[in-house]
Order: sequence, then structure tokens, then C-alpha cells
Amino acid sequence: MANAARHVKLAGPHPDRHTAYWLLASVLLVLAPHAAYQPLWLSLGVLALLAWRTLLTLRAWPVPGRLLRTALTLLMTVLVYNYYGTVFGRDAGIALLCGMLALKLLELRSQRDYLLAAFLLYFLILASFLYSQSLWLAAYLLGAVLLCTATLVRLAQPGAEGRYALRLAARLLLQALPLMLVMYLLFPRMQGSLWGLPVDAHGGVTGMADELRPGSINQLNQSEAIAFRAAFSGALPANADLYWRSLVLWQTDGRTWSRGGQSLPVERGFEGLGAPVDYVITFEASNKPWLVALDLPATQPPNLRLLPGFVLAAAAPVRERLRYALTSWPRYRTGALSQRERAAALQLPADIGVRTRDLARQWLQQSTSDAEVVQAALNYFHSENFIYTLQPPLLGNQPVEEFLFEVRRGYCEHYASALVTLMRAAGIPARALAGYQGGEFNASGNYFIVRQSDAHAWAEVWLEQRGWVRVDPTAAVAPERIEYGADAVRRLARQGAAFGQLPAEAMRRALSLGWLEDLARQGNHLWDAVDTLWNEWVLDYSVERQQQLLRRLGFEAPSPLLMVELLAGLSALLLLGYAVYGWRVPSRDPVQRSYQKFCRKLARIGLVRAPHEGAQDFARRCTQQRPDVAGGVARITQHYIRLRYGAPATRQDRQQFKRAVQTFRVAKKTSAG
Amino acid sequence: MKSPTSVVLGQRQVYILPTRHGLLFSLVLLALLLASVNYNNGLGFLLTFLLTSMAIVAILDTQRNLLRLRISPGACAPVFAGENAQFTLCLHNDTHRPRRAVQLEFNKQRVARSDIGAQQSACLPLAVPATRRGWLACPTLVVSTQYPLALMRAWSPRLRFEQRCLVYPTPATEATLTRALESTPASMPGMQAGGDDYSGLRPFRAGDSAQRISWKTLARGQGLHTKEFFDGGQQTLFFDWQSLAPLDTETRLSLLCRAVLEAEGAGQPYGLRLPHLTLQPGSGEQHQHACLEALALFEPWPTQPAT
Repeated sequence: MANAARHVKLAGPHPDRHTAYWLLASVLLVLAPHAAYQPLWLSLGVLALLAWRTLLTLRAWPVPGRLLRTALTLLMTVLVYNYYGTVFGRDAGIALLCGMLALKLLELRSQRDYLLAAFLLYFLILASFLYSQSLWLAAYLLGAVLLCTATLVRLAQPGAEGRYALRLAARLLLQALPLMLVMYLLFPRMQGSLWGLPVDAHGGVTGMADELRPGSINQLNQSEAIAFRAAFSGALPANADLYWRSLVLWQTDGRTWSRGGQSLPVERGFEGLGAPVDYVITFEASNKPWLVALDLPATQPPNLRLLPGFVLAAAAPVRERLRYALTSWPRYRTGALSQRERAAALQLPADIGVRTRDLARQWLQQSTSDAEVVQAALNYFHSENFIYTLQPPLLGNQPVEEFLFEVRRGYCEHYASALVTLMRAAGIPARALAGYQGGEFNASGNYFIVRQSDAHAWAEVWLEQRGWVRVDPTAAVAPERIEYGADAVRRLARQGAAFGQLPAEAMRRALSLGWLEDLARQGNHLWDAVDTLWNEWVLDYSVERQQQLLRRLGFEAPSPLLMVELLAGLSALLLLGYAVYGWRVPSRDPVQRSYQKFCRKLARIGLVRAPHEGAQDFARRCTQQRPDVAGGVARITQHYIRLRYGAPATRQDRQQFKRAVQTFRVAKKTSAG
Repeated sequence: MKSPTSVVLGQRQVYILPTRHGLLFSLVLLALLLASVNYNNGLGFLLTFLLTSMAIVAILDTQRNLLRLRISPGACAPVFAGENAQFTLCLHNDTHRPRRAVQLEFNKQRVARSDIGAQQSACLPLAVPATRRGWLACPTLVVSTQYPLALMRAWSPRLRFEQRCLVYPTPATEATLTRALESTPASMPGMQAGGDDYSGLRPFRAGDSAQRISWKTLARGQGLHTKEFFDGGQQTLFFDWQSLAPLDTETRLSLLCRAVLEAEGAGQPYGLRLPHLTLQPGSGEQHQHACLEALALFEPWPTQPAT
């Protein structure tokens, strides 16, 4: 009667200490990235609460009372409200959730408390993605997901080993991947948001300015930030043909060049010469509506505006990465000029300077055609002592006059504005263009990367018979800029080389990369290619991309209903696959595998081993039913039992067993019927 | 489901439904989806669908953890009423996939949990309070699992095996003995023989007649003593139902049970005389079991024989 008072029920599900540590580690891992976006006092408070909780567990201190916990909760809410001015919205809401989670940890007791905390962690992982969607963060938080899931495993199976929990969590997540991909690609995406985005959802990005002010700053934009990427589907244009037009600047007051020309008619038709090029632009958020197109775009993507001067703009400032496909003709001939266009392309203020007007008049008198005037201007820039520099001196009230006759040092903006001023003074319709020139070709991903530092300004003049013709005075001064790109110019400038006069050999030497530099560049390219794929499939996977994908898969008109049907069908197939795969998983133990093979051989002559039948029972039955195979069955069964239950088997022994099974033969017919 | 030997859980015998935690998790998934849609967040979608897929894969795992599990009852040793009957249920994993956290449920409460390796078995004990003497049937049991994440619970139908446990009567305690002595001062089991010339007490020795056991001292907790008589007593003794006449049935059985245990413990041969059954004197484990079984299954008004 000693065991009369035995507990019949298992002890209640109170997770053990190790599970608490796992949960705390998960919390630390998940909350760490949030610290970058939250006030310091909150991060420190959360950290203090975590430390307190750890001590509670470590030292088995009593859990703080309800009164204290309520007071802390109230304090947290008031502090958050005080800081953010609200407790709703993205930032305040997430801050409050982080704080509440840390407070909740103080009263961890039952399995339910732990589970709630783990579930909240999943939500806070997603909250991190609202601030950054970088590949690094995703990889980091995937680790957090793994740890959270392993914690769930430990909660579901008390006493499970840590390594087992991690392995099981990893297996579950890995097995979930195919299904996840199907859902991710096919779950119908929506345009717009459900309840509106907070005002602080964007910010911190700047694109190209929409005016030129040569001489107003003495430092060119050197930002390495990526402006856009361009992937060509056919042959690649030469670097010298890569003029990405963004803005046409018609209007000037002598100092500043701005867009103007809003009332002008939109030019559409032009005659393409040679072969067109097809490409896709992935434009980074710029907070400005201006987009880019290679000279000269023949198509207009849906939802984009075409502005006078063959430039594209979005309907609203670009706040998210934008992707559009275009076709351009690098060689072209545009049509006639309307009266209003001509007026806009000849507009000049009166006070541009006497010497400038004299120079223009002089060229006009010496030439027989407008084209010759343009050539004279280019010759002038080339032969006079003009210097291309990224650090020009500041200019005064008549920047063009000062630049042309005194300073003679400047970069693209200076040359473009001077050329357009001179042409207009000579009565030739001209306009300034702002955009990008060149780009870095990424062989790893087969596309060009164009950075903010590739920003460029050039000019277009209108010539009889030819229409608008691109004229780049910078090319006359520093051909390296156009031929080798802005990056080459910067590297030359760093080495102190002068522009324009370098012999080809010296140029080549100056531009050749060291092996380390080359390696670094290749590494960067590879990374950028990965990043681009990431952008394409994760960050920018939108309604349009989804439809595009389905059309490429052969669905003419992909509707949300079709997507749901596809999603359901594919998911069902996958699950069926899982179910079947689950039954066919072969034993990892080679001895077991060989024994199964032995059983299959016997099954062929009608001796099927019942699931519950032990090896010895089975052998006995086999011997009774088929005395002819008795010898082989007995030998193999004995060997099997020795290998499985006896002393640790050597590799040789296992192989012998395998051979024995392989050579084991069964005859179809019974021996003596 | 009733089966004498063993049950294999097939597709139709494994039910599955989300647990409370599973329902809560689905709410979390919904919240994740709403946030992803609202912010059109690609990574958010990825996370949402990763967790959704994981939960779905886990459903299959939960079901698979029970599928093809073979369950058979184990032996159950007799116990005395008031103790716990120790039933065992053996779970056999005939597949090559280890099974984790398989649990036994009894009255909707988890009573045992075990992992079962590939092609191995686990025998889980199930303690059931045995309150009354006689046959105690193995209770209906449910085999269930919440592996791997406790989001889903898979369970078998109610399993009922023909396994049963014999429950002997509770041996009379000292208090019962005392009360019994007060009501029947003259006659105690086995006291109808032997001399009347009572001369004193001496500590019990092996070989002493159980007829001469001093029940009073036993009742006082002073251990087994033998009453000394002047004439030599009989070596064997009969415990007789009739000798306890004024007492009620269960008390009588309880006293007889105690007497059998004491006699067997002292190595003294003993017999048992019940209204419809007489067991000739003997000793040893089998004899004791036969006596106790007779007491356990005793029915004052004989009806159909128990099976």
C-alpha cells in the first residue's frame, strides 16, 4: 500500500528554466533591430526588464506583484504617448508593443504566457521589415524566426533537447519553403493599402534637382547612391551613347536653368534610324517625379507621363522603386519645330554679357550653316584653354560670361549652359538637358548601374533637316568623361591627371585597376546583382510584376480568382507530395535498409512481414511456409539480429550483411508442392 | 473501439483539430497578413507565408505522428482496493520514423507521454484508482499527440481493451480490527479451535498456529503475537466466513484478506471457507492469490459467474 497516493495526472505544463532562456534570447534577437528606430530610454528600459527577468529565472526570485506590473504598464504607455504624441500608428504602436512584451516577460508562468510572447515576437519581426527590407536584415531575422520556432518546439515538447528543437524547427521551416514560394508568388496582391500609410513612411531620399545653377556650388554631387539600373534585352549600347535624359530645361534667367516649357506641345513622333534598343529601368525612390529614358524613347509605359522634349515623368513623386520597360532609338531624326517651341528654345535674358553675344555673332558671320556654328563652338571649347574640373570656383551674376572668358574651369553644367546660351545668342534653337550619362556595367547581372554621381548635363540644338541634335560640350573638353564615364573621371582626378590632353597609353594606365580593386569591384557587382534580384522579387513584387509573371507562364488574363485557383491547386499538389514523401522516407540505417530489401525479396514469393512481426517470428513463419529458403532466411535473420542488438557492428560486418542480402535468392515456385 | 489484442491507427482512426494555441496562432497569421497587405511589404508577405506553410506542414507531421501506430495492452498485476491499478499500454512504432511526444489521455487528462524510436515500443503506465474489489476494467483511453508545435492535436478514437485488473479487498486496518473485536468479542477468524486455557502472550514464531494469533495486540499495533495455550494447538487453520457472522460483508472480506496476508507472511498453512467455496489449507503465492481472488470476487448472493 506504499504507492497508494500516486499522482495519476502529469504535472501541469509549466515550461522549464531553459525554455525561459530560449525565449529571452529570442526576444533579445528580435528587439535588437528595433533599437535603431526607437528612443534610447525605451531600448534601455526593455533591456533592464529583460535583465530583471533573467535574474528572476536565474535566482528564482519571486515574480513582481500585480500592482507593480500595472504601474509599470501605465508608466510605459504614458512615456510612449509623451514621446510620440499618440499610442497608435506605426512607430508608437511598435514601440508600445516592444515595451509591453518586455513587461509581459515579468509574469511568465504558464505555457500560455510563453506562447503569447513567442507569437508576439513573430509580429515584431514583421514590424522590423516595415523599417528596412534589406537582405541582411532578412537573413538576421530568419535566424530569429528559427529561434522563436525552436522555442515553440520546446514549449510543445517539454524536456526536448535544445539541439533537437533547433533541428526540428529548421526542418519545419525548410519543408515550408516550397509552399511559401507558391503562396508568395500567387497570393493576389493589392494596389494601395488597407487603412492608409502613416506620413512618416517615406523620407530620406533625394533625387536629381530640377534646375541647373552653374557656379552656385563648387562641389559636384559625389553620392554613390544608385539612381537607377537598366537591363538591356538585346545588344548593349556603347558607353558614349548612354545619355539618360531626365529633364529638359528650356527656361533661363542667365543664372539658373529651369524646366519651363510646360505649355509646349508634347512631341511624339520621330524617325528612328538604325536599330532600336529594348531595356527595363528600375528607378530608385527619388521623391521627385522625373524619370529617365535613353535617347530617344519611342514608347510610353502605362501610368507614366511624357513631357515636352521626350522626357518621362511619373504621375506623382517616386516614393517606391519603380520599374518600367522602354524602347529607344539611339539614332533618330525629329520633326519640325513649332512657333512656340522655337520661341521657348531661343529665350534669353538681356544681360548675359557683351562678350558672349559678340562671340556668338562672330561664329554666325563666319559660318554658312547652323551646324557649322555648333562645330565652331565645340572647337572653341576644345582648343581654348578650358579645363574640366569637379571643383570649379564660384561664379557671379553673369556666370556664362565669367565662365567663358575668365574662369574657364567647370564641369558639365557649366559647359552645357554656356553652349545653350551661345547657341541661343546665335539664333539657333537650343535647350539644356539634365540626366545621367554612362553607368557601370554589371556583368554578374547583365545590367548597368547608374549612380547619382553619374548625373550629367548636356545640350540639344535644333538643326534644319535633322531636328533636335544632341551636343555635349563636355565631350569636347574632357572626352574621358563620356568615353570612360564619371567613375573614370573621378579616378583620374584623384591621381591628379589633367583632362583632355592625356595620350591613350597614359589614359589606359591611369584607368587600369589594381587586382585588389578589380576583385573588390567584381565582388561589388556580384553583390549588386544579388541585391537587384532581391529588389525585383521581394521589395518590388507588386500587382504588375505578379501579372507579368503569370502572363509569362502563359495565362492571358490573370485575375485574382485565377490566382486563388492556382494557389489552391498547387498547394494541394505540394501537400500531396509531402504526404507521399513522408511514407517513402527510407531508413537512414544501412543495416535496416538491407533488411528491408530482404523483406521485399520475400514479399515477392508471398511472405509479407506484418508490421508488428518481429524479425525472429517472421523468420519462423517463413521457414514453416517455405522450407526451401529456410537456410538463407535463418542466416540473414541471425546476422541482422546480431547487427541490430548485439555489440556495435564494424563497417566490414555491415557490408557482409549487405552482400548476404544481395546474394539471397528466392525461387518463385514452392519446392515440393 | 473495442479490441482484444491490438489496434493499428489508420487514416480513419486519426482525428485532428487545432488546439487553442493553434487558433491563436491563426489569428497571429491573420494580423501578419493584414500588416503585409497594408504596407505592401514583400518581406512581410514572405514571413507570413513562411509561418503559414510551416503550420500546414506541421499539421501533416501531427497526423503522421499517430498514423500506423500500433497499440496493445500490457499485463496488469492485481492490487488491493484503495491502491492504484497499474495498467500498461504498449505503443509500437513499426515504421522507420521516430515518433515524438505521444501521449495517453484518460478522462481528457494527459496521464503519460513518451517518445518512441523507429521500430521500437514504449509501454506507458496508467495508474487508475481501484476503489472497489472485483474486476476493474481498463478505462477507455485516447492516444493523442500535439507534436511538433502544439498548434494541432491529433487523437485516436476512444480505445477500450479487454484488459482488466483484479482488485483484492482492502486488508483490514488496525482500526477495523479493533472495531470488529468490539462487536464480536468471542469469535475471530480461526478462533473456533484450540484450547481455552489461555496462559499468556509471547512473540509470534514461525510455525505458530495462526489460530492463536492475538488479534487484540495486532490491533493495538504491537505486532504479531501468539497466545500461549497449555495444550498444543493445531498447525493448520481455517478462516471461516461464518465465524464473523454479525459483521457486514465487506468488513468480513477485509478481515479475511488481512488474515490471509498475515498467515502467508508467517508461513503458516491456511484454508478459507466461504459460503459457496472452500479452499483447502495450503500456502505459497498461488494459494494466496487463489484465496484473495475468491475474496475479491465474492458475491453474497451468487449470480452469474464473473468472467
